[in-house]
Amino acid sequence: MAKLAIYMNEAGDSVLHRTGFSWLAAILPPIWALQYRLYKTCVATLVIDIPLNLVLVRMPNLTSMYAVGVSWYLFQILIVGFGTNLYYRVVLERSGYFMTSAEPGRLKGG
Amino acid sequence: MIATCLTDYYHARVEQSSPLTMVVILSMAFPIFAAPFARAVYHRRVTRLMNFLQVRSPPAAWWARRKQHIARLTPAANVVKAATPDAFAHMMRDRSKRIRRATFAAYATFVVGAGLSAPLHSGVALEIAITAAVLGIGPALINAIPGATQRWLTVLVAAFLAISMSFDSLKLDSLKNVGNLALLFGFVFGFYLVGTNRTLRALYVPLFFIGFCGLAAAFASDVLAHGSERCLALTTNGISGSGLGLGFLAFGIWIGNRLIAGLARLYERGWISDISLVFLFGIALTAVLDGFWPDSREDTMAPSTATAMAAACLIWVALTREPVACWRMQPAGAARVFTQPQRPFARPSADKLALCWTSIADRRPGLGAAQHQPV
Repeated sequence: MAKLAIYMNEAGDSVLHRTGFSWLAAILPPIWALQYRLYKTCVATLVIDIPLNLVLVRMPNLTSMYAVGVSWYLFQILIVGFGTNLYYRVVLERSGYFMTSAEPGRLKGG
Repeated sequence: MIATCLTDYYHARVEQSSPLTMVVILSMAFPIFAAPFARAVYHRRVTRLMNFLQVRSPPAAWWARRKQHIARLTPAANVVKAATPDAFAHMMRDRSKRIRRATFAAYATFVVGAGLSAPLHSGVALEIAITAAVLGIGPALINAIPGATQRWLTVLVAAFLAISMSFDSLKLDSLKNVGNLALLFGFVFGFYLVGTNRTLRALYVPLFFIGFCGLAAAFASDVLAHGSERCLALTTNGISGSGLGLGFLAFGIWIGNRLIAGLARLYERGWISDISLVFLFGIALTAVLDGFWPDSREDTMAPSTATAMAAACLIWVALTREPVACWRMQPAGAARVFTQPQRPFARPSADKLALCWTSIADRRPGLGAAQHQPV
C-alpha cells in the first residue's frame, strides 16, 4: 500500500506525497500532472501524447496500429505509473520542500 | 467552420434528448450510490492521517499562516455562552424547544405544499400527498429527536412508497414497465436513506458537484469526438476515443473538486452557511430542471411539469427558510444532527451537556465561557 507523507517549504506551503503506483498517472499522465500543479510536465506529456495518437490514428495497417498503441500504453502504465511519485518527490525536494511528517511504515522504509 | 459544425452536432444531440436534464438527474442519483463509498474512503484516509509521525517541526511561516487562517474564520453562530451550569441547561432546553417547533413548522409546510401541488399531477394527487407526508416524517423525527433512527419507520416508508407507486403504475401509461417502477422506487428510497443518515447526507452536495462536472465533461467529450469525426472526417479508434473520454472525465472531476474547495473557502469566510448552501443548491437544481425539462415532448408524466417544478421550488424555499424566518433560529440543529451517537455525551440533551460542563469546570475552575460549546 502507498505510504503518505507531508512535505512543506519555508514559505509554509504544504503538499501530500504518496509513494507507490499511481493509476491516474498510468492512464492519464497530463491530468496527474495538472492535479499536482506540475504545469510544465503537463504540457510535456501532452506534447508527447497528442502527436503519438495522431500518428496512431493515421496508420494504414490496423494490426500495426494496435501493436504500437498497446505497446506504448503498456510502457506508459508500467514506467509512468511506477515512476511518477518518485519523480514528484524529486521535484518537491529540488523546489525546497522537506518532509515534516509521515506514516510509520514510510519512515521505516527510509 | 469547425465550430459551426460542432454547434450543429450539439444542437442535433440536444434535439434527440435533453442532455442537461439527463445530466442533472443522473448527478442527483450519483451521490446516492457513491456516498457510502466516499464515506469509507474518507474514514480510511482520516485514520491514516491520524497515525502520522512528525519528523520535523513545520516552518515558522506555516504557524503564522495558520494563526492568520484561524483568526479569519467566522466564529460559529451556535456557541452558547452562559455564566452557570443551570443557565446553560435552561438555554439548551429552550433551544431544543425551538428546534422542535421549527421542525414541526417545516414538516407542516412541506406536507401542505405537496398537497397544494398535488392537483397538478392529474390522477395521482392523493398518492403524491400521502407519499410526501410519509417521506417527510423521517427527516423531521431525526431533527426533533436526537439519535432517532427507528427501523420501523424506514420499513413503513418503503411500504408506503411501494404501495403508492404500484397505484401510480396502474394509472399512468409511462410506468407500465416494472423495471421503470423499480428504478423510480430505488431512486426515491435511496434518496430518503441518504437524506436521513447523518454522515451520508453531508456528502450529498459535494458528490453532486463531482458527478455533475464528470458527466457534463463526458457529454462534452462525446460532442467533441463525434463532431470531429463528422467535421474533420477523422476516424478515431477505440483507444484514442476512450482516452479522450477518460481525459475529459478526469478533467471534469478535477473541476468538481475545485468547485468544492471554492465552496469550502466561502463557508470558512462566513459568506455562506450550511442552510444557505442547501437553499441555493435547491433553487439552482429546481431552476435547471424547470428550465430544461423537455415539456414539448409527448409525455404523460409532464403535461404541466414547469408548473409542478415551480411549486416544488416554492416548497423547497419554504422548507429551508421558513423555520429560520419564523423563529430566527440559529443553526443549532446542525450541531445536534451531526453529533456522534456512539460516543459519550452522544445525545446532547440539556442535562448531559450541563453535566459535561460541570465536570470540566470542577476539574479546571479557571475555564471560562469558551467551554460552553455544544458537543
